Amino acid sequence: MHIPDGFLSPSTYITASFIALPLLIRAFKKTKELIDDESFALLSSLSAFSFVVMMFNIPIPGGTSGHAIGAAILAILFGPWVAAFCISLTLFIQALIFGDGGLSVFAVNSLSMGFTASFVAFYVHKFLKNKMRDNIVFFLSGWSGIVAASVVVAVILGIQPLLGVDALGHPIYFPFGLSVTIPTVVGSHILFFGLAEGIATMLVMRFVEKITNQDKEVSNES
Amino acid sequence: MRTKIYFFLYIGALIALSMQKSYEPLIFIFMALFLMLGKSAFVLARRALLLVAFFSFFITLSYSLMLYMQSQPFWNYFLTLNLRSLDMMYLTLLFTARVNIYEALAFSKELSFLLVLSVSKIMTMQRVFADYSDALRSRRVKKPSRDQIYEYLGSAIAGFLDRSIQESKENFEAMKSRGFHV
Repeated sequence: MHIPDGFLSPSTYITASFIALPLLIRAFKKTKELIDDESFALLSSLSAFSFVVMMFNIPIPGGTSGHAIGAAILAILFGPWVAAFCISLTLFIQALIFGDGGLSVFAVNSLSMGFTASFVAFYVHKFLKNKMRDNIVFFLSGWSGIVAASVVVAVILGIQPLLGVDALGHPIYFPFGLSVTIPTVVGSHILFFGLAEGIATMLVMRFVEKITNQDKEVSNES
Repeated sequence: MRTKIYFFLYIGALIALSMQKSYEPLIFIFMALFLMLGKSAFVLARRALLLVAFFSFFITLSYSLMLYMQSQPFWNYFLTLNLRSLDMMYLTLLFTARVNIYEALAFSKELSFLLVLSVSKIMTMQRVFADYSDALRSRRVKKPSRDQIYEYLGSAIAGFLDRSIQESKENFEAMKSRGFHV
């Protein structure tokens, strides 16, 4: 879902930067309040964790594979602000140090994959928790977070032809409108990448619950 | 202070590049960046090309094909978008190759520290990830089933999460014992 440099008009990424910056400052402050003294060590570790999650290729039924971003895992375990900040920090490092994505589109990537995915996943989990089986809730949290992020990306990409054209009337940034971006970007995330995030969230949260239950049993026995 | 000026110049240049609407100046900018990079120009050009190729070529080729089938001129669009994307990536690689990023981004002690710590952990995690992948490859005789892969992924990702939390606790204790407070 990373958008590279050069495909978004300056009016888009400058506006996105003005929206993302105060949110990132708030996320940073919230995280420090929530985790207190250990926040720096934990934030850097969770950002590295998010980076590694993006490296795992997850097989999806149907023969293809995709990678997760770990937003739902972090949001369920540490809250949406912590998750949004960690994912954004990872995206920033990817853009500037590893050349994946781009600095001009960092704010858009942060708003979609960082904030939208984390908050949607967190609230879907909060709403559905205790209403259906845990595995389904974890899967739906991950899936809905990534699908919501893809809607933001699709809309931002889809409005680019309206924001810049050359002398011949051809688009000069991302060329396809909403009629193409909504079905392709959102559709592929509903069918493929959302499944990868959902499966990753379900597998990891199931494992975390198993370990937590084992720890509880050990402490009860002793 | 000098590195911060370079950072703002880099941001200004990125914005200026993103405003380019025709490919002619972008060719000259690419050549100028190429000359500025000296010996590492070819290596970084190849890296920049690989980084922008997938998304950029896929999108621009499909749109150019559409224009071609409608008998409309497509070269301007194809060259402008790809060169702009390539120049912006090349500029970023030039900036990271020549300027100390951590110094350039040291606007606050906290953020600068967080960035250094995160990058160092990412590097470590990348090595551990490679070890995990090698270990899985060396221990299997036949192709694992999907359930086995899921089991491996669940435990591996959760293992990374556990490792991340443990390491952060150790880092915090180490920082505290050395009197380091942010």
